[in-house]
Amino acid sequence: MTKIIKKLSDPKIFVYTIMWMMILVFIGTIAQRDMGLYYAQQKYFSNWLAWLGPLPTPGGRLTMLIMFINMLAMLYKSSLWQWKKIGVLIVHLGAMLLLIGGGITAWFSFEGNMVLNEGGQSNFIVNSQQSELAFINTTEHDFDNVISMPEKILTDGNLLSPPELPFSVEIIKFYSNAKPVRRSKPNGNLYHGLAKNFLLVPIDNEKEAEMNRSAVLFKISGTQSNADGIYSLFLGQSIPQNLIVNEQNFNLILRRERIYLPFAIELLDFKRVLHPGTTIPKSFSSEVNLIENKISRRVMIQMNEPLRHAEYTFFQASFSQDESGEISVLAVVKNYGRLFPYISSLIMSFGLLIHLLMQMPRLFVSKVIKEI
Amino acid sequence: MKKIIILLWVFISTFLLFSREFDYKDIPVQEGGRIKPLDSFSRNQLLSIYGKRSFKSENSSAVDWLTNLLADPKNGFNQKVFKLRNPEVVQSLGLEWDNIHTYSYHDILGGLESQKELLIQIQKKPDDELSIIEAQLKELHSNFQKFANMWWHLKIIPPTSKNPEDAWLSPWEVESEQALTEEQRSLLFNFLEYLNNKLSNDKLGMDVAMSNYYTELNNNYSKLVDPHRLKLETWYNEINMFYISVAFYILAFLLLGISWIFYPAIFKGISYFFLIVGFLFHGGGLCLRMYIMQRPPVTTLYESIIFVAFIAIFCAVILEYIRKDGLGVFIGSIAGSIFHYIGFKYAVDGDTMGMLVAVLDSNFWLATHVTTITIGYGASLMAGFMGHIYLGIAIIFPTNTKRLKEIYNNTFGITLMALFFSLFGTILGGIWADQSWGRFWGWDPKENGAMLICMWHLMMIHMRLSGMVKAPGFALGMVLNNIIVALAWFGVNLLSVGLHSYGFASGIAINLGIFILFEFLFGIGAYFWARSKQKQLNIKLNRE
Repeated sequence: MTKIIKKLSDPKIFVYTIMWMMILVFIGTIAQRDMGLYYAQQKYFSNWLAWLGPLPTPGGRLTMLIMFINMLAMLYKSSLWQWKKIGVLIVHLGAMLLLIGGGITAWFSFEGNMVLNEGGQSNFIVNSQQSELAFINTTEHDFDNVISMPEKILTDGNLLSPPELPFSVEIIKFYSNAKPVRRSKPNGNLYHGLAKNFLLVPIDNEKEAEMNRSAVLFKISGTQSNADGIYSLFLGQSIPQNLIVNEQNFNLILRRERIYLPFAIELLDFKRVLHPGTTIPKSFSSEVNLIENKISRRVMIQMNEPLRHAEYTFFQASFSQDESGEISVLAVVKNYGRLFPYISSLIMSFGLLIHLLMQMPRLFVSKVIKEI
Repeated sequence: MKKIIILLWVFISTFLLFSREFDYKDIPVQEGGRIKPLDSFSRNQLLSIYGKRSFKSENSSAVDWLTNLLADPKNGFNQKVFKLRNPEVVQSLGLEWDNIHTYSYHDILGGLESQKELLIQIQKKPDDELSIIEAQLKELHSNFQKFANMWWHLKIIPPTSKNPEDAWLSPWEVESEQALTEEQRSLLFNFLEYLNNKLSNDKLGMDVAMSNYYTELNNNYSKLVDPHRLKLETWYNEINMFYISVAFYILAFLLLGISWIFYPAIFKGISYFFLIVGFLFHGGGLCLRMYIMQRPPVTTLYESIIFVAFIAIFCAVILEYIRKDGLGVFIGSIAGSIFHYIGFKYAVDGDTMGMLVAVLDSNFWLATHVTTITIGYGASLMAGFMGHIYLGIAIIFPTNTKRLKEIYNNTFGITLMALFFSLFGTILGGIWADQSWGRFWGWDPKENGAMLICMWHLMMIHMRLSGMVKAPGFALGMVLNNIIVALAWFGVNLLSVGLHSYGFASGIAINLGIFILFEFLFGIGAYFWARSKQKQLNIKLNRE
């Protein structure tokens, strides 16, 4: 056992893993030019295995795990636990904490956007990379009943029959990016709506993952009417798809995945200030009301000054303008690991500083001592 | 002795500054979102048209050129100021290519008119599809427009609202005299009066107009402009501290060279002194910029070059203080000269004091993250230079093991320091990103570049620890470290800019490539040479 731990704690392991990490970072950075930041990140860094062509190689996560194990094993060495090495020890503990924080962030963090019109409000976050298939029951006048299926269960061939729906849904095909192409003649009676006249053609993913237009082809059965059949939907479709089953009215939409919050945010005013006489932006800010339990609080969100509330943090991310006025986009993040880098960086810097101060005399002043 | 000189320098500079009255060079103009003296404005105009910030041959400054142009356009339009560097552009305009290849407004006007259709076509094309000649023609056309409409670009009238966030007006933007307030009118009137008197060469009239102008400015617009800072910027432009500093660095290097031949002690002392004087001018220039812009030292790529040099020379000065063998002066003077040279190249790009986009406009983070990471770059490069020195000495004096050992230790010490600043700076950058975008790390090219530097240092330190490298290997590692720093510092910009095939970006790409190739070949070559020298030495020792 001791032997194994000793082997695992060999600094050579660290040298090789960090060499590999550098190669990975280098390739991953260059690759961003062609495939965009999101996909490069997915492929090389946020992955256990990175495929270089047909060759499976350790991805960012695996590499960092090995580094972590290496450091953990090192703690077992008795030679490290002495005053002379206190700085080194602290640095390594800090580095391990940083990696743990990275792990927590990778597993449990969540990122999305909140899009707000001036004067409008919202109580949900939109995931700009994932979509969901939503069935909205609009039969009641007072409220809508929404049944949504997130992208991760929209796998080809999956049969879904939630109890709230009077029918079942079989996913035939899900495309992460596709475009509708008009058929030369309408397809048979089995096909309804968009699927009748249009064919979905898969295309390559865009460099910016948010620009992808996902699409889904699915089969509805069990309605005991002629509504049974094949349907298709794509993201941002302008003509809505309706379905009437047992005198209940359903709206079918493929949209960006929504996560509902226990509170709402209302945009009062969005402001963009330019450096005078130029088009260089000086500041962006959103004046909002944070509405919780019908009580509202006025908050200013601006560059470098986010709003933090109930585990969520809201950042001024971007803006746009249309006929109805200005639209402010807030990036929303929920991250349990966000304090780790703060603490670990303090620890690491402190340890490194101690080590530096202890080593400096030996590394720089040796000559003077010898001459005396 | 040193203290006296510093005091003297501070005294002379403040004396020079306060003794000078406010004059036409300091007239406030708004350009690029900033209030700057007319002197800076004219230099920027001349830079884009003539390619330099002053006329070399005619002994005339940019601001005199501009005021003459404004006062007497007829004469100004005949003056040859458009410098064209590409013979093909000159040919396409139907002009003659000669030694000075500098042309007047009228020359260019005729040329551009003959190329009207081509120009219309160029205007329609997107920038990245233009060929080199087309891009240059487009640039010439826009410079020409600017030159002809200088009164339109001269935003010299403060806003009626007196709000610092509002845009200033140029005389041509004013619809009628009634649109101006009394205060604006008198300011403009005195400026025009000054130009009139300049035209008729009435010295007294010029002085009176300028003193009236200053009184008006001080009484009514003291919230918008700080005359003292304007004067300081004019002075900064004129004195050009970085030129003085590079002169001292070169001098220090030459004297050090002499010290290897004659009177070593004396010349080494003087060369160290000159290095320090250059360093003080260098720091003085940085401080002036910080005061003028009211910002931390590093906000742009240009400033990062100047600051990295400052840090590297600071390390060198300390190193020399400890070692006293000329090594610090050697490294410091070379590094200082090279970095200043690169800095001058960058300064040609335009105004070096630009405004910042919203996300960067945070003095707190600029002061902490950017400064720390730039210190990290500086210290890393310093460790890289030490690597060169180690290999060089190992080749030339392989027997001097004591000295080699010391340099190895110094190199390692500087590497630890570099790691401290790079790591701390990178993490601070992550924290800034967490504060403004909500994620600590996003694998963005700039972030990855900084991380690569940290990882390289960590790798070298652990290689040394595990015995995978000995002293020469470590030195080689630090030489190669320079490549990583250069890539993280400049290469990343190329990546995000995209591969623009003309202009400055391609210049960077080529220089970067040459640098990387040089460092690589030097490192590998010197490493094996040093190794073989050592082997010969060992064989010799064994025989004896």
